[in-house]
Amino acid sequence: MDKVTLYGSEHFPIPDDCSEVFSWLSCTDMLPCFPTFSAVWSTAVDALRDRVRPLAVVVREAGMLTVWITLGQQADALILEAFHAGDYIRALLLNTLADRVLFRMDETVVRLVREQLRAEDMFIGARLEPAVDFDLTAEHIASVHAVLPEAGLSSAHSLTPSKSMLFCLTLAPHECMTTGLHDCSRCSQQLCPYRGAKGRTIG
Amino acid sequence: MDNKLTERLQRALLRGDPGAVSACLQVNRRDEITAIKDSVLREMTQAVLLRKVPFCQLVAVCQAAEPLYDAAQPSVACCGALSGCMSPATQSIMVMLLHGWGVPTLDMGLDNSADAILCAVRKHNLRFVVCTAFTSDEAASIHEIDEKAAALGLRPSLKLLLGGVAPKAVLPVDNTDFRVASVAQEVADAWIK
Repeated sequence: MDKVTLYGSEHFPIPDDCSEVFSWLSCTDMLPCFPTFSAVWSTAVDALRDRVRPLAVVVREAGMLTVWITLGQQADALILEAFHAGDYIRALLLNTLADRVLFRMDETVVRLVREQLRAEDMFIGARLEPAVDFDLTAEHIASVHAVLPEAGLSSAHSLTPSKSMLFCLTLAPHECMTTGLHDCSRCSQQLCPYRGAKGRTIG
Repeated sequence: MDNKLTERLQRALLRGDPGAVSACLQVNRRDEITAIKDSVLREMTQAVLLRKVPFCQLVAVCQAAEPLYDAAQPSVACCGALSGCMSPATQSIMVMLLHGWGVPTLDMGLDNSADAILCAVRKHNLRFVVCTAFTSDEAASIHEIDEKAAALGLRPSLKLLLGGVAPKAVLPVDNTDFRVASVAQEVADAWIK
């Protein structure tokens, strides 16, 4: 595996199927707003496909992989445009769909990394998350920023663009029986609607 | 405005049907509709907080009610994401809800310093500052606004609220959507009084 590996949008298709997003929003066909949400869905998907380019960057350094997943600044811009236009249903769908795409990218990147490491007889050790396993600083994203200039940290150490994810994977010479997926059981947000979603694990 | 049209409008708002609301608006006076909208938002917010309906239905109601918002009124509240918060959704949803309640709101967008917020308070003579944050670290900067507002003597006349993430010291007994909805209602109730 190279020092820097880029995975482009061809690895991260944006899905047509609305069922998971609607499930996260608890938008069932019993609700009065369901027809409106359904009507807006396809245009929201098309807009995201047209404007957004999902990208993952994996940097290998000192026996560890730093993984940056992002939908880019266009995702934030698209969501804000919808809110400013008063098209709140479209904005909510875009926001939730963007999160779904991010989580699927997470799962896909972990799988791709595992496959590449297997070729070297290496394995994923542990997954380390910012704010849980380490305090995120500019140093952690310096190597990513060198490859992807738009990757940054806000003054409150939040990732920018906001539809981004960063985590680290340690490397091991033996199989560690770890999924490498995000573990929701370590998060304090007990009522998060994404808890235990596909691509995430609880314990 | 006749009773049948009132009922039709109320049903359209509760369904969150923007098209039906627009059709009712064609034939109605704004002030009567504003009074109806207030009760619809209250009913829907309570239903969401009691988990009787999901948040998406409240979003649909707010979209349907958006044409009723009078943007020409002088602002009484500002709503901005705190310093370092770059997530558009939470702050925009808070503005959406405040508009839904009819609270004249200055939208301050993302990544606001304490000085920027207090400058807006003094310039527009605002009564409410509604901050949003997506993470606990972002939420911490609300204390700076509190301290600086007190130092400027603004604190007694200013209601300062945080929507979005629960502060670190508090158990996360509710999620960010619920906190946003309850904060919007709190502002609306204080404004209506």
